[in-house]
Amino acid sequence: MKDIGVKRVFERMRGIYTPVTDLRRRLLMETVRFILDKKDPSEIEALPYDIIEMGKPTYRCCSYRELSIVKQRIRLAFGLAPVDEKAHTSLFKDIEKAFTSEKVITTPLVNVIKAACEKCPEDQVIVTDKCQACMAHPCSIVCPRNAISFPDDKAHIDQEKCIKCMKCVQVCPYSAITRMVRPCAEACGVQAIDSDEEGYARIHQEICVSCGLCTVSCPFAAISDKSEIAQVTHALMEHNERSNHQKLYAIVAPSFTGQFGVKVTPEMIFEGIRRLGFDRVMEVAYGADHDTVILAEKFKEEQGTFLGTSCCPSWVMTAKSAYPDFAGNIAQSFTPMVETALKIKESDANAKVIFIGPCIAKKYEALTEEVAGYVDYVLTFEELAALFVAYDIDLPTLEQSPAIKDASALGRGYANASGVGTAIIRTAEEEFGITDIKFEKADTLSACLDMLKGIAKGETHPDLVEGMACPGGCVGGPGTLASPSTAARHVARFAAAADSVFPNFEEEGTKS
Amino acid sequence: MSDKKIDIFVCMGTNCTFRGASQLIEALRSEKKIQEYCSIHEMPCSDSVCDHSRRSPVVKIDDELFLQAKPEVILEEVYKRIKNT
Ligand code: SF4
Ligand code: FES
Repeated sequence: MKDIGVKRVFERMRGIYTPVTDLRRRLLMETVRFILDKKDPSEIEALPYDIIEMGKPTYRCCSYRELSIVKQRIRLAFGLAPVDEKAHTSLFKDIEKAFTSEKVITTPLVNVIKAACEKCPEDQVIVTDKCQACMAHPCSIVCPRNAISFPDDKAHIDQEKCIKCMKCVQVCPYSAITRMVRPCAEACGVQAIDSDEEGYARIHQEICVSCGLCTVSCPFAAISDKSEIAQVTHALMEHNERSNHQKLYAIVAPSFTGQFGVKVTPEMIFEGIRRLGFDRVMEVAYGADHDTVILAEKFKEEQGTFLGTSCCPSWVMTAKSAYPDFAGNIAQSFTPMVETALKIKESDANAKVIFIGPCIAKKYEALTEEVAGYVDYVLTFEELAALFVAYDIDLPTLEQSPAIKDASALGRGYANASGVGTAIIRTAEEEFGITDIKFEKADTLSACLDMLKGIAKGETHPDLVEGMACPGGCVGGPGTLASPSTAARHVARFAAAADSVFPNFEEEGTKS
Repeated sequence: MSDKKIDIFVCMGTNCTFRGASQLIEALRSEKKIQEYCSIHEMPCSDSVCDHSRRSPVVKIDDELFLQAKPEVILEEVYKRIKNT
């Protein structure tokens, strides 16, 4: 049979424009329009009807259920927490608080919308209709727990006894037995999702590292992060109207290329951002270069133990909490986002810095004490695209100039898995002639944990360890629009166009 | 335009890309049969048509316009036309 290349559960919907994607995007663009039209918060009750059509439920049994889902998602789009649906409060309680340019989001960032959650069964091995109750029934013969019986005309698995060893799945001649997992829980690499008393998905916030992969894995639009799109829109409006002296800077993560259509060049994207009203746009690959230099320099000193990359906040949190002994191994340097923001705030302390990337964990990072002073808001690429649409900015028609020159090829490569490691290794070699760096890397948090386990057990002895929470690296982040493979291609192309391969060591070295 | 019988235009403006045009054109291009019978073109935003993205994505097959074009609808339509050529 043709190999159809089955992907991991949480990767299957990525790069497909589903009705869940559509709901999310329409909701974002109508939210921005609502603000741009200067509607009063009291008119918010009308907003859901711009997004769904009553009487015509498109994805749920009834319009009323759709309505409460959309209302909760509007709250999240405005940066507010979902309301407890049993508490008989208005779903738009306190919404007026979000109609300002003041930052409103707080943790937890990733939330389950109960009205939308279908209470999918947790991880189970189940028998499907394909079962023929065959004479050989190898399934029950190989089952080590005697969990399979034939009460009627189909095999039956006793869930109490089943240990999910998958032996029966492997031997069934009809492939009639399958494992059914819960998409959200399967996407979570740190196992933060279980069920509450009623069976709804529940995120254990003390475990969650805000990677956001569950938000794009739930097929029922039941999990969402909070957005700052409303506050950024207000900031832009204030800036454009009063032309106040506070400058707005957009700093853009290296995975931005190719996100807004194949015909759209990086320069057009920067120009589009300026048209929104930003004073300056800068590549976060600039900060990546800075980090490369800091980490490459570490290899000058004798290590004896491994050095872990620090550019993915979810990976750093996961590594530190699962292996506290390794906490000292993770580089102390800031993420490229913060390095870039730092540079801006150094020269203009009044500036407001808005990070735009594929990443939900950065929204979390920007709320932490160390970082809050540098990065004012965080948007995803999807949220940026909603701004373009609401502002009627058509990227392919914009001019190409000026050329972008903030970073090296290696810095731009940070967006792809193993890009960070490659940058450090090649720079250490070029600058210090160090050639024998043993490198290990992992993408997705479950793979990261496996990698750390191997190191803890002494099975592997790497010098440099790269961890990324998203599949394929940042190009697989939950806030992206393009499929990860397309984005990865564009990242490589833009890297090749950089003026220099290596970070500018002179400049960077003296600063750190 | 070419000797292929059917012309498909997919709008690649920002409004349409935001609403799934890239995925739609990828879906069309990945079908061998469609490649064989149709020329697939990208077209720019023609302003009023997409109504600020509310009616995106916009697709034109020969001279017929499709708004809020879902891949499943477009693929079916194209295959219907291929059959009738
Ligand atoms: S995948 Fe979605 S619907 Fe299913 S349990 Fe998780 S949150 Fe609920
Ligand atoms: S963007 Fe496609 S018609 Fe306007």
